[in-house]
Amino acid sequence: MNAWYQQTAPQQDVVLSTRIRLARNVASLPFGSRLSRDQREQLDTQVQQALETIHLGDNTLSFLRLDDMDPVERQALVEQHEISPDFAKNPDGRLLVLSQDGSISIMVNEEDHLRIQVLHSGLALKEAYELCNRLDDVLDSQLGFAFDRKLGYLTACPTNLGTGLRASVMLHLPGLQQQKLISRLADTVGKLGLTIRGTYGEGSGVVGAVYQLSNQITLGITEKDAMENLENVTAQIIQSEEQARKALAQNQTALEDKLWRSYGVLKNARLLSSEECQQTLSWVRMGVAMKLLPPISYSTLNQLLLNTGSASVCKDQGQLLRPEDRDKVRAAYVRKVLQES
Amino acid sequence: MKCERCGQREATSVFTQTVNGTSKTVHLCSQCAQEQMMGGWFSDFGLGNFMGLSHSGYAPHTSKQCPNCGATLEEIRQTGLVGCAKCYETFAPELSGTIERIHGASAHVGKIPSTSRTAVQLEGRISELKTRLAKAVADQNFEQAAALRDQIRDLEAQNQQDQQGKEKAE
Repeated sequence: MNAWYQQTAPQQDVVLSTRIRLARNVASLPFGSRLSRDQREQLDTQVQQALETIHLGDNTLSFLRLDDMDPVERQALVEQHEISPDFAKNPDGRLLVLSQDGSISIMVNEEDHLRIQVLHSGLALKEAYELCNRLDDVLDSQLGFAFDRKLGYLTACPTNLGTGLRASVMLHLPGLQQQKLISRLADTVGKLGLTIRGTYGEGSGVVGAVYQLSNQITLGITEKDAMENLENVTAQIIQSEEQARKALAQNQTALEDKLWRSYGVLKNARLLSSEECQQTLSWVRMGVAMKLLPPISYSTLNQLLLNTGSASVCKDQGQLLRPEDRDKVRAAYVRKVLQES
Repeated sequence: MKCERCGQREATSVFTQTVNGTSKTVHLCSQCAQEQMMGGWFSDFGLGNFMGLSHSGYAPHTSKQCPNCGATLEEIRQTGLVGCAKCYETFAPELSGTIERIHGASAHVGKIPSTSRTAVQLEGRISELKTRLAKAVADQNFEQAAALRDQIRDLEAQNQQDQQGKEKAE
């Protein structure tokens, strides 16, 4: 079975992936940190039982106790966006429900009792929400979620009250970043009830140009409106990004040189740090989208982006290798994937 | 310079994180930088930002405690998290202002789970929306009116579905 990030989806030239997350709590139990170890394990069992009746075709669910995993394995799941860093750090009594293709991940005993998450490649808010909503209905009918007529779904943190919905898209914005338009963009989306955040180095040390855009408000807005708002703003950002890329292409030789060098690094490097890997992947993804580089499928590009984190490249070794050894393993992995693609 | 996150390894990268235009710069080692980059999806805001109370000498005015889970207002303020569903009732007077500041609204309009959905509730919501729709039309705010009309239609469909479900069950 293909992994979730290998699905084809609209707008993959700019949108890396879509995530829908619902925060839910069982009405009859105290929240998060107030649960005893026994209560946590009981909840794990109840969730597992509740999901036994659901039919997902070949995409079967696994029930993974975090205590049973080694730290590298947990960290790799963080790098692949399946679980939160906090969830990986404190495995005590926590359960992860993970579908075979990785599109569904339910964190049990996170900040809320349940964080139901669905991932999809590209821009696919509706599809991801429909699946998430179905899981929510099945779990609710068995567990009974805390819901208040006025405040909606009750969550441990008041920032999630109401729908408990966080809808996000991961955007690849090398054009806007090069044109230094991100901070203006951030001001604009902030006024529309959305948040954009990205982590990047200073000056030329830009890493990956990956930004996350998500809804900030969950109370007083329907799921549909929140997602439509996000989708509309995303469409506008895609347009601006495409314009920004065109502007970069005006200096064609310089741009092509940059893209082909990055391509060369990925195909040939013997040592590849995480930062260099993300940065060159970013250029190559843009080059492929602009048809200035030979075609590489988005499936392959996603695979490289998600599986080259420090823990992910060391997963088979069962422990975190020294940085220089990691860089060697990473370089070999990237060369192999590109050769096979 | 040592990494500002773990305080142990040598810092090798300078990172600027921007949230809605506000930038924060930190010096990180390669491992922490990696974790920082990967945490993207999950790094939500803490409530402290909104309550504006986590930083300075706040003196508790109340020893009120949730009868269900034992959480105190002081604990909620410190962690930004309530202790149980009942806390929202217990601390309603203290929390309502914060909730409204965060969301700019105080009432849920989204999904109602079928377990706690009754015809009465749905009809109540529909009539409330109809009042808002009439006002939007009167104000010539047609964009809002269209959105409200869609919401009303969705709820009426939901209501009808529930009724049919019940008839079947009987």
